[in-house]
Amino acid sequence: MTMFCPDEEKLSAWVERNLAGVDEETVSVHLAACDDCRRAATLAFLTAGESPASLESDGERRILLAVQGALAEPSECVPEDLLAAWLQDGLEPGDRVRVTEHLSSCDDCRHAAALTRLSTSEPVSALGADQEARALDLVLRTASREAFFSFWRVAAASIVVAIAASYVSVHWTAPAVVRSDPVALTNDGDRTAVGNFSPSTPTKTPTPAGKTADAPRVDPGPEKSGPSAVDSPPMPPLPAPPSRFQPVPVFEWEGIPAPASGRLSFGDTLRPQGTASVNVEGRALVVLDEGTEARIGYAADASAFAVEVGPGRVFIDTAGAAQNWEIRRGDRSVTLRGFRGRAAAETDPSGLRVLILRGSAEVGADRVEANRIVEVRANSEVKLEDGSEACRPRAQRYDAIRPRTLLVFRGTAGSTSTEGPWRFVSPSRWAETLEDGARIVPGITDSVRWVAVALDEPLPYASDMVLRATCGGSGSKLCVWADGWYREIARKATTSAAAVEEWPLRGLRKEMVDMVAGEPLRKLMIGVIQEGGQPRTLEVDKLEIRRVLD
Amino acid sequence: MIGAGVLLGVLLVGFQDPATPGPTDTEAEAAVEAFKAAIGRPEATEDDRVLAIRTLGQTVHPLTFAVIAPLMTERTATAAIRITAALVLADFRAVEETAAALMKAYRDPTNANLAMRAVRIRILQTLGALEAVSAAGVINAAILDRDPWIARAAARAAGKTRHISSIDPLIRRLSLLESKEGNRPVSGEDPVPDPTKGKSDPRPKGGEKYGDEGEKRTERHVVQASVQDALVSITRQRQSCAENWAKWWAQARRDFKVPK
Repeated sequence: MTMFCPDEEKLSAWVERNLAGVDEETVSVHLAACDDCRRAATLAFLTAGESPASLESDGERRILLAVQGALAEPSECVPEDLLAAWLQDGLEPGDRVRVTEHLSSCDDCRHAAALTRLSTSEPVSALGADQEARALDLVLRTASREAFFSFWRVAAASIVVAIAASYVSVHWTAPAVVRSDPVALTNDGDRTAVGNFSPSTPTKTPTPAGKTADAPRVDPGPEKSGPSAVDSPPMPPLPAPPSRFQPVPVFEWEGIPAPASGRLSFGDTLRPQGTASVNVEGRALVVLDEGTEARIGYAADASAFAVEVGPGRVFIDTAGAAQNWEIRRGDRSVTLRGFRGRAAAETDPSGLRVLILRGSAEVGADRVEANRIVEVRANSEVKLEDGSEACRPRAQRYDAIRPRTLLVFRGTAGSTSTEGPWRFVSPSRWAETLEDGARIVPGITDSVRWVAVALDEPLPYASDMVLRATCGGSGSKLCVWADGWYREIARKATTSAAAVEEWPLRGLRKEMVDMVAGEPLRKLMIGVIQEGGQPRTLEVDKLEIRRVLD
Repeated sequence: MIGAGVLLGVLLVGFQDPATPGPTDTEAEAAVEAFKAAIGRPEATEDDRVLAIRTLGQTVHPLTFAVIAPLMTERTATAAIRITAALVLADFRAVEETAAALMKAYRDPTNANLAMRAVRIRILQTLGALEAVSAAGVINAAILDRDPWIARAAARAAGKTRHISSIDPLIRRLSLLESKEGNRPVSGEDPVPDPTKGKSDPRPKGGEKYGDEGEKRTERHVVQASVQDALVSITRQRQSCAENWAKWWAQARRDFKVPK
């Protein structure tokens, strides 16, 4: 901590913007680093008895940002999205039991649930002043001052964030506001940065040496590889996120901190030190070039994945599938419909442009093929241009930094997973004889013992899939089986020690007919063939299915 | 009076619940257009094409059938494309020409080589799934095919179509399987070379064993159970061997009707 904590009076003054320039800056810097003071500032706001009408002032926005930062701290409480799903009966039985159990022992979450129910039946943004005041009173009445430090997390999230986010979505995304005061935005942006990769990063985003947390961000940008951004002035950071986006499950990531509970919400600004990649639901790759800021979410109303590109360049790779992608930059956005291929989305102070590197997409009424550029204007009108010269270096750059594989399933044999992106049941990590084992692989005359993994949701087969498994045991001849499709394989490891083996799923057959793309896989098994009746063992630990991208 | 009766009949017919309507011509045309766009993309992979056929196959209509059926014999179509086309046609029972198209594709010279064995097997499976009685001739011939995997698929198809004419070839095949011919080794090799491996000779090798030292896999292993199952399925009888089947069939043939 760079300074002693400010007293309550000073915090209150900061909330109300009554501090002079130097003090304002000092407290802001301190709040960026001090969890306790952010809590106190939140408390000061909540107990000030300010009417919700005053939410229009900048002070509340800063509180919102402070709360968002404070929410970075890990909590054992139920995440808001789970709580909301619990209220709407939208949870799997396992998750539902877990949330119910937690609610039975956590006053804070019960209060939050009650408030959420209130706000669900009467959307917070639609509450009248009296109703909002009642909601606020409810918070204050139901939580003692002593309890507030634990209660504030949920209550503040439920009340302040909900109200303020609604407000932000309506008022604070106006382009004029965004552009009229870039310095203030930069400051606010960096306040947002306090643990802004919030769910999982208890520490704040590292600040480059020689910079204060509140100093205007010097954007390293994509200059190294982005010819269009050379000599560009610094870009403003990302504006506050609109509230229409849902979190997206993330199967794998590199170059960014681990997302909490395996999800990224649109409020999480990604600011990798170098390049970064995010595997979105095992369906697409989002790759951030150096010096790029971005956010990822899902816009349910548009049935589209969404990516907000801050300064820099984001690559999107749909891994062969047709998808909708909404690409945004503050005041402008474009939606690629039926996009199948690879694209680079770039920003510079003058705008946003999307380069189609491979495949095609529909933009409005136009079909945009590879090597075309979509220039997005402030009113979200688009202009299409030829751009093979510009696309080629981007495609090369993407090829240099992209992941080579796309994780689509991960599990552990001998365990059961009822939550997270992959739900499965695996009775044992050791190969066992199955009751109907003789009929499973009619072509194999020796008996086979199996390690099985039953998936909760079917996985559509693609011919570029490979199965990776950590295998041990004395068996050398194995059989991979998936819903009746199978192939014999030989273990590469020569000893019984555990080693990672990798086998393409291509060539799995049933009745000598090869499996073709799109076949739903519900159960996977690895069998060890008891050659010549000799007992052979097989132990499987980790299992992964990946697609090898060309 | 008669006029009133006719009117009442017309009204009754008019008010009956219509059968579940299939896709309209417009919907089928749209599906075909989407298919053409997907399959025609220069960067489309084999998986993309397979998925496009699967998607098109969800619209069961003579128009989509007319696009899918030729894919089974299209000169440039890979085994996976042909297999997928045959696979999706299993849902085209409502289109009259489906069985005929499958039979034509089965006999097509482009599907005759060993590398396309899987296509022929898939066609037989689809004929079985459609319970295509009109395909009994093709199925019966396939039951006696030299390739045990074809014979196995044909026997299974015969068990589903349950045509009386299949009993003779099934008993004949069973008899061969119980003779020393049934000891012929069967190749476990993939007839379609695995692209992840080097070139491999798909032809069965004399005296090939299963694995390095495992038990030999013979035609009997591969085909016999399927033939027995098919005979039971058609006749609802159980006999222990080909000889007993033949004796029973000699007596029952004259008045035999395939039981429901």
